[in-house]
Amino acid sequence: MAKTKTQKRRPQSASRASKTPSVIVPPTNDQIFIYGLLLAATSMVVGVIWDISWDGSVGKDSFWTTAHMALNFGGLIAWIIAIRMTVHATRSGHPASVQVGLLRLPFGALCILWGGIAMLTYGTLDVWWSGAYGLMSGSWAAPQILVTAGIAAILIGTLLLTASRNNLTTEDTGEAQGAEGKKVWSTLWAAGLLLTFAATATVEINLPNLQRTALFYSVSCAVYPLILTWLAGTAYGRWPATFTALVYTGLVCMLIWILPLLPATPLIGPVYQQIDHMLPPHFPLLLIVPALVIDLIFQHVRQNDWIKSVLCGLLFTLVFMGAQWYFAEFLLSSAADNGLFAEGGRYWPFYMQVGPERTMFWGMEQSPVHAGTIFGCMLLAMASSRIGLWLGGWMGALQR
Amino acid sequence: MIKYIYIVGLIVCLSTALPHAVHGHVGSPNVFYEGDAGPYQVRVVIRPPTAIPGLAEVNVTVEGDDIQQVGVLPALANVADNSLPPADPANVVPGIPHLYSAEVWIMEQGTYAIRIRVQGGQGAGEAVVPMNAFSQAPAEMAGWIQISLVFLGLVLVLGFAVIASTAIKESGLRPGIDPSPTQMPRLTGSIAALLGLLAAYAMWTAWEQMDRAYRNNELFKPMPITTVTNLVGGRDRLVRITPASNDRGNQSWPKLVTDHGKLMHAFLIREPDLDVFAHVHPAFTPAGNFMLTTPPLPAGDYRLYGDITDESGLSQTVTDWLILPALKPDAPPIPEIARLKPDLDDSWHQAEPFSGPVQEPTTTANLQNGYRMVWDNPEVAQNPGESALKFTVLDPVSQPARLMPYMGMLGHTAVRRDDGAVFAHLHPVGSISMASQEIFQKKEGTASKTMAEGMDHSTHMMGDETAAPNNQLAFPFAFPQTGSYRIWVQVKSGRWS
Repeated sequence: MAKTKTQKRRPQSASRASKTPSVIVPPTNDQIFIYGLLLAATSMVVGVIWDISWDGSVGKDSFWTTAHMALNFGGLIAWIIAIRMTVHATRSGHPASVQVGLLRLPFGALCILWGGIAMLTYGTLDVWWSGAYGLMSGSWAAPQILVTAGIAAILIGTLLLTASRNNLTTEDTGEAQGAEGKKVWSTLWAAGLLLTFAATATVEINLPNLQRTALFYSVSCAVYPLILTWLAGTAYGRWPATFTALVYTGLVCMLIWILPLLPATPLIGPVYQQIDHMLPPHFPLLLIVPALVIDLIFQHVRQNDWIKSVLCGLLFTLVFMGAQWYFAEFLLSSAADNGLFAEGGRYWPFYMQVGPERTMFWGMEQSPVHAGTIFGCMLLAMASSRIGLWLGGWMGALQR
Repeated sequence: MIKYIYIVGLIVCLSTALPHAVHGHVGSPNVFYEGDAGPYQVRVVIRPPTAIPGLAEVNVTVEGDDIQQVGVLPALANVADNSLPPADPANVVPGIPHLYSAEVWIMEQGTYAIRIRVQGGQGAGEAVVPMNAFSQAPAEMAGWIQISLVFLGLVLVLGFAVIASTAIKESGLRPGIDPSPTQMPRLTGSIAALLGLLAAYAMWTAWEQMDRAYRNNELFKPMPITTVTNLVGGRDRLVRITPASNDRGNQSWPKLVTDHGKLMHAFLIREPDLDVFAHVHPAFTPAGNFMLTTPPLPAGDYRLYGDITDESGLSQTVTDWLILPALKPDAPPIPEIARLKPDLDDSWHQAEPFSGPVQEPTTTANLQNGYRMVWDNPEVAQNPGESALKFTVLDPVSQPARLMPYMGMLGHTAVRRDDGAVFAHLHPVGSISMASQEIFQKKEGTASKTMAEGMDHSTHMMGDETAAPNNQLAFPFAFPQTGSYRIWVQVKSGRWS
């Protein structure tokens, strides 16, 4: 079943291309919608990070806080754009779209519509849930799963829309990759947003204090190789995984540097941490290091996807663990207690009572890292990479 | 010479008011308070959140035209003042004069002092209202939410299947090419639908487990108690009240504080007719138990409600069933020295059995010695806007009765729904535990000026014969559930003999 990415991108259809119109107009004949989607997706991811900061600095919030607006309006705008695309493609019977019942719509828009419905379901359930069990109660309970799935689907939809446009442009012009007219950056940006969201959704186990637990490395090895190899598998440029990780690192760093400039006071009690500005998010994970390695693997290894997955999984685990293990020690040290890194165990939500353990590693007894953990992480990372490669091959060939 | 008599008025009513407002007793979590905030008279109704973290709804009525600001600050017991956030400003409720409303976040379970801060022409004043904030059993999900969720869930599963099959079928086809009819997309779609259903089932199972754990571990349960009744010499019934072992194995009373001079205010109500009522005060013995010599009540099955307040300010109502055996009047008297004497403030009452749904509320109750009590606002049972039960007491010649403080209060009221789902013990200052309020006031150093009128414990068992008769009683309260209720109102009158 394994096919090279080139075979996939020049799909089965190439042999039956007789019906292909000579000029294909992308599903939306207006690039501005793609920009709108990227802006909406960025707004959602920034909104999620800002909301976590808001909850830890101010506490009291409503539907109308800036952070919630960034998230909800981002989602709403993405949904409206997806509906606009559907209406356009259905009316014009546009060929670069998929058929769903009576409707035609780009495949990415289908994912965005699904994500919107998942968020709506979350909203409906949460009305009752907060009243029944308390606000935000239950870790990874039904509402949290729904909202995470909803946001992820919108981000994935955005990613797929940018990819299908890039693929179409390539196919139409017949030019080589990286040729003018392709907007590879849009796909990498969308992928960076997805990676940022994945790292934010797992923030409860990502704290620097927890970065020596088996749980942290297991989850990391299950999630991040998938996204990085997904992008590497599309072969958008020479360094797609690295650029994706760079978007994540850059975006989070910007927020680390900007959010503390905004004044904030806890408005609900008890208040255990004296706070006078928005909390910065935690310093991004060093995903850029394994991303670089993954790109190098894709540049130099010519074997099939299974071999690549094994290599990616193996090296991701070793490189990421090696880098993060020691970097975590730096993050908890006083050397990281500055405006650049905003760590050193200084910033905590106002509702947390944290003593000297603020600069210590936690959970090493409950979830210790040993040889078996590393082996398990490698297997997870390999499986994750294999799925990523499938997705990458498929997305690289996405036409509609 | 003055002789005091205790009189109990009995009222029955049918409440059809929607569940609206209502403390820490049984089935009645809302808090009512009437008292002073410095120079201002305030009436406070607090609806605690049903789940925590959640919002408490605080309504404050402040008399006066020069009020500038009303603030509400929930202070969790055992949290230092420097860990408190700023007070939430309460907003004027349009159209209702003097009413201010605020929603305040309650983030942790526990006992709170809700500080009501009033700023006005006469300066600043503060009232401290104790509130228990504990999670209650989750409410049933509304029908429209259930239907919406099932519908949206199906759309999501179906949507997932469509996404999967479309991804296989045509997402990678060059535009303009018709997808070839193969079984692959249908198979993929079916597998995706199955996976979607499995995911929904897994989420549902996890939810059920979480719900069970929540109901078992997170909900507040009053301290379990055990009662043992002994017939002593055929003349006295001695009830011993001890803590029962709970999940955590605790078997001793917490450090209790006195409320109106008593460590426990217990109510005995005969079941199922609710015809016999007693307000009694068990004595705390050196052995660490509560012991009670019951009044001469008729034999039967009784429900015991015991109001206690501990050092932290937490007030709770402990309950148990007990069977009182019949007394043997022919038995030889027990020497006084061998008896546990009943408390001097114990009082009791026997009335007609309470049967069936109430058709018409009673509005007048005949008290002992020719006194009468009139319920001034029976419409309160139908009107959720009302938040006080008001009564007038008349003497045998229909003149305003001269009432004496009864354990520091002008009156005590017990409210019971026929099936036992609701029990509340009220005073003219509301439903709060005064002991709890005192603990919070001491902690904060608030001047005792905020204590409500009539709360001066020095007047306990005393009566000011020269004061103008005060025969009007108002108990801040609203029925928490619809149903048939019996209300016992206790007052004390002094007369010359």
